[in-house]
Amino acid sequence: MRSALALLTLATALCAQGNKYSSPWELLRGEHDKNHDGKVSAKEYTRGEVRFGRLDRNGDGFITESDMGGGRSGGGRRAGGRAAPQLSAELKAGRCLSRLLAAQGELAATELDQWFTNLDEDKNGKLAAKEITCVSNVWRKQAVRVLDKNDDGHIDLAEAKSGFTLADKDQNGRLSTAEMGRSRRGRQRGGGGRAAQRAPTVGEVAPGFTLKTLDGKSEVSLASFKNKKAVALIFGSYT
Amino acid sequence: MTGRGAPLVQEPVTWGERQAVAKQCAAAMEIEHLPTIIDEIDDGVGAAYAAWPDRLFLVGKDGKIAYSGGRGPFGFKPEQLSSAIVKELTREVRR
Repeated sequence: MRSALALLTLATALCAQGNKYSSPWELLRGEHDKNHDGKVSAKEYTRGEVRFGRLDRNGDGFITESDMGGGRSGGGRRAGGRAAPQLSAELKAGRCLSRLLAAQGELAATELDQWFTNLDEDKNGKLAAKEITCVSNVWRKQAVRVLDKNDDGHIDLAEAKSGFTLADKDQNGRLSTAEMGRSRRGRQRGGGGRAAQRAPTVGEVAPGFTLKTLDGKSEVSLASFKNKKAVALIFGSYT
Repeated sequence: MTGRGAPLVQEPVTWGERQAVAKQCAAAMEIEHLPTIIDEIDDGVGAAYAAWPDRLFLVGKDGKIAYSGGRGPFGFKPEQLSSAIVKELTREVRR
């Protein structure tokens, strides 16, 4: 009997989540707290710097229960709810700009040179897309595409400073996360950029796609199933 | 990496690297028998479905969304997708 249902898993890949833990913190601690000290360090967390930076809300270099929304924050919240920045020397010396921005809320022009040097892993005076760590692939590619004025495929310090100046809308010499967000949206050219993320709801036309298979030898198009089969889509990520 | 025995992986920056990671995961999760397709490195399809990190959908024969799950991990509910599949296929039989 021919199948009435097509099943597609979409990668990066699927890792089904267990369901034996009572909270997101318990799940994360169970998976990553190898030394059982009640907190998850960057070394213990194996799902990438970007995710670690998002979860380490107070920027102290550890994911704790308070970062996940449980218990009192160890960071000492100010009135208005914003955590006082507790930046470890490691964070400041590191290469994860998004974590620094999340922790202190802004980047000063005077800090840009140091961050450029931190990111320039091969010390050739230019940043390749691969060296822009701790951000999504989408932002990484957009950054090179927009800032690379001489089209050599890299960002040099002058191009980075030019981009900083353009994004610093209030011209106060400091780039806030709000300005970064506006700058990022402004780089989405001609309406072709990614829309704000909202999942399609029941009854809406499913967004179409044509993607390569796991072996890279063929392509699958959602439109090919229309009027033939229902399609179950299983989105997963692995890094 | 975890008790599942999967190896440590770096975040991919090219499609080829993503393909390699996807193959690792498919092998580790023993799902190589499931048809798997890979998003472009700009995460276009993932963004269109707001799918990060995990999410389930059912697209009906009419090309419209028949089930839209919540974001994983806690919104990732295979049993809901299963029910939606049964409902969709039953609906088709009744036509």
